[in-house]
Amino acid sequence: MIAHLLLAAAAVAVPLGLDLYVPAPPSNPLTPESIELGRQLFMDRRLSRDASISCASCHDPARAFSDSRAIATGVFGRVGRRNSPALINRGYGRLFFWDGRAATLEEQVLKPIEDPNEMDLSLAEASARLQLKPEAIAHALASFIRSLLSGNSRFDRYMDGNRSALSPDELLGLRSLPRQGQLHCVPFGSQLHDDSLHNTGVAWNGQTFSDGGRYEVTKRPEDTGRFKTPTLRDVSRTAPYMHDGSLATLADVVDYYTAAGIATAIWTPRFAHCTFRSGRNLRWCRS
Amino acid sequence: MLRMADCYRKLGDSQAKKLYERVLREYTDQKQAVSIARARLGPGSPVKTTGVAMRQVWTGTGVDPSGSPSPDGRYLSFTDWETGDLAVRDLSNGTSHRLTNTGGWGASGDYASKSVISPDGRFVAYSWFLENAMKNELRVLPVGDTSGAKPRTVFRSEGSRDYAEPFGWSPDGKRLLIVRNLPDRASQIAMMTVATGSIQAIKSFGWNQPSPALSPDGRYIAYEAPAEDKPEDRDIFILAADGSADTPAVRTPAVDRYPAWSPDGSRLLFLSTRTGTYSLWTVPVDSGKPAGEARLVKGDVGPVTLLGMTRRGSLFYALPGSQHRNIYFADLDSDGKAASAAKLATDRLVNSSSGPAWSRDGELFAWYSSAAAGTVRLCIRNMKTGQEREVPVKVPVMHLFLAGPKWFPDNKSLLILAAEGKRRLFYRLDTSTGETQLLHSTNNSSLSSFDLSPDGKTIYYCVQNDQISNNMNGQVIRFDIGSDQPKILAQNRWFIAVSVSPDGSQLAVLESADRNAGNSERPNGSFISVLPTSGADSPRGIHGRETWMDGSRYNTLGWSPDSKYVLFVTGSVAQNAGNIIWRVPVAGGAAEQIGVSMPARIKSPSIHPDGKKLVFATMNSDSGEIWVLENFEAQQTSRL
Repeated sequence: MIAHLLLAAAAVAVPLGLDLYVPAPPSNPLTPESIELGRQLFMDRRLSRDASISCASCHDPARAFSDSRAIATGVFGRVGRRNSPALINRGYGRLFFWDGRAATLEEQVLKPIEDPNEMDLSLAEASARLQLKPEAIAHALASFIRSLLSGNSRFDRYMDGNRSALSPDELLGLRSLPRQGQLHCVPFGSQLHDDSLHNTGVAWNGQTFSDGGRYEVTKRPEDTGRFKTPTLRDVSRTAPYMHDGSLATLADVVDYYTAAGIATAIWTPRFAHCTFRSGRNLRWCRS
Repeated sequence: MLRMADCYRKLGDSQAKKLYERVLREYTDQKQAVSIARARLGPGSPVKTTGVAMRQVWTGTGVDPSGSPSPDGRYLSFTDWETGDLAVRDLSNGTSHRLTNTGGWGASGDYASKSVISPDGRFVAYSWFLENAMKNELRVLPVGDTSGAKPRTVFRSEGSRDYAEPFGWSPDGKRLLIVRNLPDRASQIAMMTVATGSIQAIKSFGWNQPSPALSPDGRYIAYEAPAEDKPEDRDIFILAADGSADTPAVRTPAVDRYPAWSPDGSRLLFLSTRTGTYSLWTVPVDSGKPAGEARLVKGDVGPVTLLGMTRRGSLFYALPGSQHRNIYFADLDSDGKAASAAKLATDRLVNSSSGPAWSRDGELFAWYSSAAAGTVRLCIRNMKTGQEREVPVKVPVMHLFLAGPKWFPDNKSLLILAAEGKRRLFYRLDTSTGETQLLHSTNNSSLSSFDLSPDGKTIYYCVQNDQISNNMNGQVIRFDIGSDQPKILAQNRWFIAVSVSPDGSQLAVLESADRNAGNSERPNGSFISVLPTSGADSPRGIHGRETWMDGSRYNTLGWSPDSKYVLFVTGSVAQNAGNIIWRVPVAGGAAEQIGVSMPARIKSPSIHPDGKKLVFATMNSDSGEIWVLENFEAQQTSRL
């Protein structure tokens, strides 16, 4: 349930279940003007080399600003490496990209523009096309993303005290997540993710890691195969799942974790004992 | 100076008062003189320091730091840990009365925790734990009503690990500033509407105790959080209650804690270690931002907890009592029952000794002493000669729940636990040289208990894995020294302590069961099980249920030398409530007391290999104190 672009005098309107405080750096305060400019830039195809795609091409508003394709496709049909993540509630984030290589939204939003497999446009050329400095582009896009807030779900209403907001099955699923799931990457905090990186075995192909994940940023062996936990908010809209879009449905995801994933050498030990009650978890995820 | 003051006093000269106050102010290290001066000044007499006045308003049994003062400073809410009830102390006459009636721990495990009195002084909001339902509530009750008025439940949690604690009231009394802790250990600063219980989260954190304080006009929330670059330090921030801003207010390479607002909202008071000792500081604020440099209000107040400010600017704070740890011997008869009263095992390092451990041959006795915070000394006594010596330890010893070292069968080396950040490391320490050899390490910081097999070849330990949502995914682990991988002997329960039998064949395990976690076959409580050290069988319960509220469960298991009985301890959650040592036959049967009880928590019960002497450690604390600091604003005005 996306409640974006509802502007108040001082900030965006925050739906039930989310923090009232939406962090923004002092250099880029959240204003209606910057959000609107960011919205326009988000839809602007001039930010791609061949003017064929915009940010919205891979971050569909109807899909919680994610992509239905397993792997993002950029200009000239170039295929990237990872799935386009949902952008909802990223204003609360501390790590960006699947491998957490950006620390701020302002830093993050410019990377896809320059990435040869995505929009493949130099910042100088983007600046010339839009008659805006790169910093202004970054500020506007970051502000727009901060306005993409999703809350007031039945889960939020349940947590607010409406004990009939969830069905009995959904409630069992909710309760079984922390009890049986034992996953530190499936929390109940406002964002329904821990904004941290974990190796849950998704990149392990049986012999090696198909994607180094966080290792590609830090070069530390213990970071191999670690990816950022995506939010569970609007998760029913963000298929396919995982950093590589390798799981097509929520049922696949629950089955994956029911089987405790794939054993890897540097796996979080706790994860090896996780079990899910598939049906219940699935119903809760859809609430 | 005291004599001079007494002379003036006999003459009826007011100079006496000034001299007594000087004694209190300038000779704090001379306790007897301070005590006499305080007595001469009378109870509650203000102690004037540089511009501020301090007075102790409550000390003795029952002092508790979980409440807040009423706006007029007459009352202080608190939890009466004798019963678990919410109570109020009338500071004008030194009496306390309970606002709730649990019937005591024997009748109910319910208890109150954090409480805060409303701006009009008429109500108190408090957290309430329901033992049977394993849920937490946030309730509101009239302060002055002792006629059994029913509390109003504003919020009820989903489970035992979801709770909301009140930290303040909005000026109109319609909303509460709360910290909500969620099952995944996320913490939120939030506002709760009293009429509906609806919660608006303002800022979420990882597991944190932000100690928030609402400004008198209700527009800002001051709170503390771990420093980004050094989490053991804490900084203070000001969060706009409408979520529009979050601004650092105090950032130093030190611990800055417990923000409290001045009555006019122009200043924050807080506790800081920036000078090396715990001191009270203040910083001016304007429109939710710091508006000047922080200034010292009162130095060296100790590790106090700030409880709140009255509308006239009196700051209430709690000073914890000091902790005493001692080791006792008790002679045992041929049946393993106490034959004599317990007596202190050592005259040295009194009030700082714990973790006793017999050597395998019974000739030596090792223990830890931690007289100064952060330092642990390893001591060994020869039982034949009485000679005692200290062994230098070069690794950062972890005195886990006051557990001591474990002897290897050579009677010359000890297994010790050390901590480096979240890593837990097992070392073999040579008692003649102090040299250490790393045997095993784990990154699991939730390790709660360990033991060594009699043959010195295997380390057993349990972990709780509680970082996520509950403790029910713990493990009992066996590590054969020299092997590559530990082996899990039992899992998916809340393990508290482990102890290996003297014959090495069995492992006693103390565990808790959480009814809320679906353990329908095991109702809420504590249980003792035994399992073969080989891992060939699952745990077999031999005793339960002990009271859930037993506050002395960690490091409380032991064995009889013949491996036929498991020793355990029961007690109350109350800090200094008495503990009792019991034994339960492994083969089955009722538990029985062995005739040892102490007015303190008992740890590390251990019987000498010859079966004739019991050693154990005790832990208790002095009463805490409640103090009031006044006139800090006058001092600030004069300085500015």
